[in-house]
Amino acid sequence: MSAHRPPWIERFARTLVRWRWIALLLVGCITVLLLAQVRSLEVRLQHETILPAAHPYVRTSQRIESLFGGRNQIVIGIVPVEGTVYSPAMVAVVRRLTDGLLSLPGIVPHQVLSLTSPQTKAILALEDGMSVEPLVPLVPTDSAFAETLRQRLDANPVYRNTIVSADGSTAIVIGDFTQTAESPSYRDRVTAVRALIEREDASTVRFALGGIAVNLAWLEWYSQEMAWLFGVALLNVMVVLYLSFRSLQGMIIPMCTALLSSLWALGIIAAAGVPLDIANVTTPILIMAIAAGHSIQMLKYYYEMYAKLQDQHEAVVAAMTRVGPVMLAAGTIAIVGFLSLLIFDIPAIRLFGLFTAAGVAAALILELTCIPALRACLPAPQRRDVTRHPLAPNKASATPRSTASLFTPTNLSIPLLFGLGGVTLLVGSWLVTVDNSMRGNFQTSSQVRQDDTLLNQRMGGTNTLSLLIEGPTNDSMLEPSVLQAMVATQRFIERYDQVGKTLSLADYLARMNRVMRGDVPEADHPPESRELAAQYLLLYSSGGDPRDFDTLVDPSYRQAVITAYLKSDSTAYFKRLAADLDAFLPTVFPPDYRVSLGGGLAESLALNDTIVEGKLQNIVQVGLIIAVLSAVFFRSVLAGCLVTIPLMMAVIANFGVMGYFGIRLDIGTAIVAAMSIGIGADYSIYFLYRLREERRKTATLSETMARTRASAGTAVLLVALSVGCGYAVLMISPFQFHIRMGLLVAVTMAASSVSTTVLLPWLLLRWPPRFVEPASPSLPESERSRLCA
Amino acid sequence: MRITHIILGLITTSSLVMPLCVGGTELSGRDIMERNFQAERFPQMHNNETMNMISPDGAVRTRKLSSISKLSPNGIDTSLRTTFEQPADIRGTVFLQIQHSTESDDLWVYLPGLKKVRRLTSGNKKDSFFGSEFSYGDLLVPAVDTFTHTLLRTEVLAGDSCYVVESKPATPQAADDVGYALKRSWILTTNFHEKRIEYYDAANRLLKSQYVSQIQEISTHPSRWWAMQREMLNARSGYRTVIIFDRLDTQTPVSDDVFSAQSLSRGK
Repeated sequence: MSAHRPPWIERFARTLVRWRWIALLLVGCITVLLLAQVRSLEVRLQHETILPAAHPYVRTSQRIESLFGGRNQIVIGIVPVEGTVYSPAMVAVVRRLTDGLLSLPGIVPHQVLSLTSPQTKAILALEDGMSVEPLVPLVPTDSAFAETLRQRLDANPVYRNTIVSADGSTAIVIGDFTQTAESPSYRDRVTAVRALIEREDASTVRFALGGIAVNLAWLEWYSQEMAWLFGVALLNVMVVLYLSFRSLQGMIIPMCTALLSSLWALGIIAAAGVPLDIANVTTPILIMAIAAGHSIQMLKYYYEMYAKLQDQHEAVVAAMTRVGPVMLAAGTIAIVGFLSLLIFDIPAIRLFGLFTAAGVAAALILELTCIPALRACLPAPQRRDVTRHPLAPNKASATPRSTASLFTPTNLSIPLLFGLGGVTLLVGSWLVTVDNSMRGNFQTSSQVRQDDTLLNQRMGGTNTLSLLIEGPTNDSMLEPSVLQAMVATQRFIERYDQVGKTLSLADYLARMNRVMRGDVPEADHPPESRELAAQYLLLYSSGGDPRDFDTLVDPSYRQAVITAYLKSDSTAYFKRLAADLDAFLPTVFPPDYRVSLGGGLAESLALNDTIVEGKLQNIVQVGLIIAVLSAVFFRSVLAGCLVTIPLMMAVIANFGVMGYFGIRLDIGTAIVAAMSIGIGADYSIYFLYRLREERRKTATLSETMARTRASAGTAVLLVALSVGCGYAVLMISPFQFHIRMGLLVAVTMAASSVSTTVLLPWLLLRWPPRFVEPASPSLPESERSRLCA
Repeated sequence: MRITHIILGLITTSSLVMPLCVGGTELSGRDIMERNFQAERFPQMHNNETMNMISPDGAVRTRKLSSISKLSPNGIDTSLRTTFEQPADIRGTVFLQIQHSTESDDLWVYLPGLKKVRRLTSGNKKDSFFGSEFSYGDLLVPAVDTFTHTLLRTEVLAGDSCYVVESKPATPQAADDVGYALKRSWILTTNFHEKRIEYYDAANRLLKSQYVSQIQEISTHPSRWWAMQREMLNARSGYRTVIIFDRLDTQTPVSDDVFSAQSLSRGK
């Protein structure tokens, strides 16, 4: 690339104008093809795509899922309006919902847990033996039922706080689905469960839905809202464009680029067979904003050229010749910026980066083919369209002179202001917390959060920690030392105030041991010999079902899991607990046993680790790529460094605002920084390019700067306004994920555009770099006058 | 040509219908199941069996056990004593079940690890047979009139002519006890031994399927048959259990003493 007008772009522009109808036809064909793909697009989340697959916690969680299930859990909380769940009527509700869940397609029968599920057995003491029977055999109507059920639950405490609350005010039915790419979506699953609930009498019982499947279903529902948010964003951008150009053509042509680019981006996503997810569902708005930004730059040049040349086709060629190279450079840099997201270990972020890069490429192609061709076909703009808008050439050179006094090398108010603001925001960035709890994506007033709060308060906790224990051989889990280690680990975890319940195979074996030894409390511990443990389990299997313990131990008894339910979803809290467990576990488990952590909380922490590490890596990487590409484009290392200054300000503003506003760093906000850097780089590149161009026509650098700020600077502010407004629309969403993204994109756009149009000019005037000076001597006065006319 | 087809069709149809009438009397579903019940009744039996429990991913857990059974004087109920031989952890564990057709079964266990005999509650027919996919009711078949039987048709199954009989629990209590809502049996027309049984829930969804093979005639007077291999496939979980009878002895007399709870700890 070169700052000089390369002949190829001019030749290309002329060819395009000549064959404009063919170009439009080709673009039309591609658009129709991609549009056909879009019809098959749907919003669909896959749990794995929002997790870092290589992280040990995630790997353990996946292994736990493959061995014991539980990855797509749905929890139905049953809360009687009056009394407890120990009434025949309430147990009947539990039974109907349990049977209803069992009848749903894709449900894993042995993962359905409730008071009445087949595997919920009471281990009861007989006078001279043991009885294993369903906790609630049938729904009786006698008055002693409540007391009998209460006694059975007292005798089998494993069910307290897991399927029924300690006070009997709430019962839950837990289901687990097999979820594959071909399965119904999470929202379909939850809709089916809601249909079961709606059959019940709402005047006697109310329900709360929880579990990962419900959270993911809500994420899908909220992601679907992106369709109308896109419409509102479109209107926003149109308003900004109309205000910028004060003409219909000025509004419609950039919108053509924006809409077609978004459509192409969606078509590419659909053609790749990838569903829309929580991250890439924002791609169309982003592409629309970026495409509109590029289009504004091109349109502004076109009007300038048309005003000068008064020939429509020549103006198209001239605008393309001038803007084409810088647009390609800026676009390439944005593409590389987005592609840098491929380093993330989180599939959703990788896909977002990939498809946004494809969308930006589509925008570049359209802006350099379809739009010039279209413009060449349309009637020439009217004089008032060219002259009356705020970017008109006659206004451009006049407006900023009023602020020119600010931009003197001796005026230190600008660096002071930016320095102070930068330091303040930098301090704020230290306050940023990393938190990836899924419920944090929802408003506290939302149904999903209220349900979760209810379940969390009444049951053991809706946040899980799982410890996967892997032994060296089959039946390793029956070793007394291991069973005792399980008990010790459970007691250790239960010391933490936020832990509401722990559960393991050892609980059941302890219960059997107690019952078989005359139901004395002293025998309430796992059996002392491996043989007795095996015999108890054989005994249990003769009355129960061999897979009653499927959620706790695998059929070979080589792997088992301890599950802890926590009321807190704080990853910081979990991190302390995990660190303590790392020190504790080797002291109780034999050395040839491996114990690893998994579960929902561990996955959140894995996401935190990956995002923090990946984010820092990503910011440095994108910054370097932009600096290098800019240095090549301007043939100046200093230019490369200057381009990154507004980006650094944007990053600082991003994290500073996050810190002060208590916005967490999560999978969504992690994307914003990379996005902002990718978009923001355009600003400084366009600005520096225009500055160098203007320098050839003006005598002094301060005059050059005034003209550049008036033309490219105003355009940058308008583009930032268009992108910022486009994204700010997300803030009206009820979904925290979108709100945070909308706010932060607006903030970073403001920071990078203001830095480009205020700080960068001051720096360039204070220390004039050589790359700004034209390679050839300044133009003669007569030529300058002609160009400036 | 067309007449030949008609004649061949008539011959085929009649060959299927013929077994329905034995000795000039048409058999009902109940008659067939009664004969099926009797076809496997032995006064006593000693056997050794291997039970392979196979997970969907192919992992196999093997248990070896020996059983002694004796038919009670009413010709319906059976007493069964099962001793586990392998694996080592459970060697010597003995279960005793005394079947009562009119009341709950008696169930006792001896655990060598505890060195004590303990009584268990009367097992439901639907309870798993020692962790396998078979239930007690699948192996110790309840009395014929526990179900109502309907003969659906006759058909050829893997080369053998079979009655297809549908059996439904006669009472809600029976349905709860056996754990399924409907059973469809393929009964061999030649010896009235079952060849395949499918079990369905109330929504007519398949729960599990039993495949019976290596059916041998053990005695001719009266005619008694025994399947040396049974396989039960759980349609929901994909788990299956294969029981192979390694040794069968129906001649050696069995003392009533072996069916007392006291005898379990003595290993007799």
